[in-house]
Amino acid sequence: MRENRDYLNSLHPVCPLIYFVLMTGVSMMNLYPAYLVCAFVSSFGYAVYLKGFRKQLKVLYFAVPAAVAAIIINSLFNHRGVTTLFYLPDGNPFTLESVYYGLNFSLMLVSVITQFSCFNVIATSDKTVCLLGGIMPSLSLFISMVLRFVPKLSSHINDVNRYRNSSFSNEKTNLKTKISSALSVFSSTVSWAFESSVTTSDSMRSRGSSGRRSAMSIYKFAKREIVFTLFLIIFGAVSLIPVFTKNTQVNYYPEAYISPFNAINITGTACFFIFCMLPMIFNLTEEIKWRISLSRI
Amino acid sequence: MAHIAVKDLSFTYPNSTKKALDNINMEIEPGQFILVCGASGCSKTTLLRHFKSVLTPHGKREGRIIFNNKELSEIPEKEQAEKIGFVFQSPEDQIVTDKVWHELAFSLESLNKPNDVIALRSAETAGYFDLGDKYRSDVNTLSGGQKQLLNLASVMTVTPEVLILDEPTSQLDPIASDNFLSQIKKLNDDLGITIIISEHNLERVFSMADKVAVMKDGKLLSFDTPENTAKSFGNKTSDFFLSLPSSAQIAVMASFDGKTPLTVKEGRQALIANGITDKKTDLISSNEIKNKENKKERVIEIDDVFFRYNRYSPDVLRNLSLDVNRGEILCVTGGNGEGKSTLFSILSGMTSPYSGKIKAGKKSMKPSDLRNKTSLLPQDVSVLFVKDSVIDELKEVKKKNGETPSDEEINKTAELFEIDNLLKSHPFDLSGGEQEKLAIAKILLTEAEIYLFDEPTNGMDPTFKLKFGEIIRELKKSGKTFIIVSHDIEFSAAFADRCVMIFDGRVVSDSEPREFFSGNSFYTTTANKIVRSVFPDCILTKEAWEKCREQTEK
Repeated sequence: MRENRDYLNSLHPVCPLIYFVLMTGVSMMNLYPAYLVCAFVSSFGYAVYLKGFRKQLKVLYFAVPAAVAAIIINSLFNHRGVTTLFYLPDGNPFTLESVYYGLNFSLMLVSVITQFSCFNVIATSDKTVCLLGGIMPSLSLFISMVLRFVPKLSSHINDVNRYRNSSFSNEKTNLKTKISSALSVFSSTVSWAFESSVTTSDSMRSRGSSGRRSAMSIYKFAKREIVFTLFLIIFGAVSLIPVFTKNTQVNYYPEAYISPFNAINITGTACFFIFCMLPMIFNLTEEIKWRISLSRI
Repeated sequence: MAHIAVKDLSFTYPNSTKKALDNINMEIEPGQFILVCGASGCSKTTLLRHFKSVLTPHGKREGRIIFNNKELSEIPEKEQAEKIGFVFQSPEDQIVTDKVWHELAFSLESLNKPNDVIALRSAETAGYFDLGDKYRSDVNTLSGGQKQLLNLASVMTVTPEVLILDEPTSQLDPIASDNFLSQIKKLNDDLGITIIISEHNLERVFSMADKVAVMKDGKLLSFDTPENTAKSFGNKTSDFFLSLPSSAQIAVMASFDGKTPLTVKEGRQALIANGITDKKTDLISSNEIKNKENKKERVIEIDDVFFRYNRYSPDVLRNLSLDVNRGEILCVTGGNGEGKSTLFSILSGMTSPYSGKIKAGKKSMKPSDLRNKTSLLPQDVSVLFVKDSVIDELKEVKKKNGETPSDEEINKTAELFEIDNLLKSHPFDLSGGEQEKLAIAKILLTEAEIYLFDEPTNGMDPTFKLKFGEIIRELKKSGKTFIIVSHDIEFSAAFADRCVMIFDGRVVSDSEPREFFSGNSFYTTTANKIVRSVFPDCILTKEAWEKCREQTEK
């Protein structure tokens, strides 16, 4: 919805790539709750900005039950931990530590799902083609061709089905005729796909598509991208320091242990929060710049 | 020095005894606009494909093709890609990528040009073809005409010396087709690109050409200027006569003096120059009198129907009411996207309106009832083909009353539609016009009460169009009803009993063809445009020349 006004969306794809890889990578590899909360809150805010509150809420309708299920299943099957709450029917203990772990894991799950909601909006085919084109031009062409072909194919199957039903439908439709009709539709679509591809390949050959090719990209890596990447690198690096210096350890078995807050931790968390909020921060500054320049007219 | 020279070219497809190309000799000068025409299946496509090595079909070949004084077969593929551009018939199938910018960049990427060169040429070409505001859009948001323009633009990014187009406008509506041909003419005028184009509908393109090549059965009958071609084929017994532009037909049949007119404007001027004056004429034909006399029985009534594709999109059909009579040919016209195909979806029982009723007699029709009553011919006929041979396609048809058609009926239908010599071929091996004939044969074999035809005359040559019109006229006598959506004004004028125009989601005009077309200023037949100052009621080319002949023979 708002992706046309979004700052991160308009940058060269390398920037969102670094952003998402780092944020999601840290969320998936490290269970430290402070980091996960930062990531979740920022991603949720960003997703609401991009898609609207209602749509993002719908995602939560799916994510929250999954999280609850994760907690319950983990506790039912994982019996490590020292504090026993009660005993299950098969004699195994239901431990408090397993609940803690379940909670932490669900937090990660919901956080990552929300991050992917943002990723879905930002990662368009144009960006994928641009990134891959730099590495292997034929691969980016291949992706374009697939993105062209698959919708064409599915709408053709739909059409064939509808037209057959309307003009050549049978009075009695038992399972046998349904299967035979479906097979006819499938066979017809395959033939059509072959024929259509022959024309497409003729069209490609006639424009010289055999052999080595270059790849055009509609994104340029300019000053804006350099500034944004610098911000990403600085804040990203500082937030990674606690992770690599073992200041964000999380352990639940046999006893619950989360690294206590110290200077390194807190700086790291703060930097990670700013890191995750960078797209929104830039959007906000753009908005402010707009208002200021408008008010000057 | 000829740009392209064809010397003694003969070609036979593998497993075939008949020559597809028989001793063709042509010389094309640089910057010329060459039109290739002839009936369906007369090898226009085969000839055009010989101008590029990668597109040349396999088979037995004799003779040579010389491009810029070099043998075509010796020119490397990349050089041919840069110098010779080819635009195919189908707007959909030619497009390779999913975005407009990528399609424009495709040719240059293939030639391994750097990014800044590609950016510049794409910008230039997009500007020239007015695709700038669609640069970042998805390809499937474009209309058919825009897609074909995109194909042309993509080929033009490398500015070839020669542009070959194989029936590029056959799947486009008249407005898009006019637009496309104007662009081609502009390329020829502005940039001096040699154009070789094959077409069925010669009304617009005939006068644009420097030379016209007429082909029949693989032979080159004539390769001459448009005026001379019109004169030499200006004979009603020649097959090619009906393909000539209307003004040429009128001039020849009424024996006009002076230069043979090729365009509407020249036609009008020829009328004045030959002293054709206004006379009160009675143009109502016997067919029309019979129509007026017969009592009409309503076979379908559409009452105040509303339809939209999803809840938040605007209405496509809005308060649409239409009565269809038994045994009539009803032509539905209207611009693109106005709802004609949607109306057909509803009438054939594929979807239903969210408000309003479809009635037959007193009974209200549900979609399943409509499915039993109607058979629909889609715009893209390849969706109907499910078998491996033409004869199997015809055999798998089920009539609406549940029976299968007998062998005799199948053979009769195949003969009627001129596909009896193609019974063993695979449906996708047939040419566009032949596929259309097969699809219509399949639909007619279902023996439905009401036939819905969506653009049946796409890709048909003029001779078969007449035959098709006669076939449905014959069938309507036995009570079959035909509803035809068509952009083909000439066909509607000749064969419709009634014409309706759909605009803004409803029927805005409903009358007989003569009243309908002669009353319109823009949306009328070419013959009417030529003679309306003297014979305002005249809508058919045949009538026009008869009326003119009456005056010139005095």
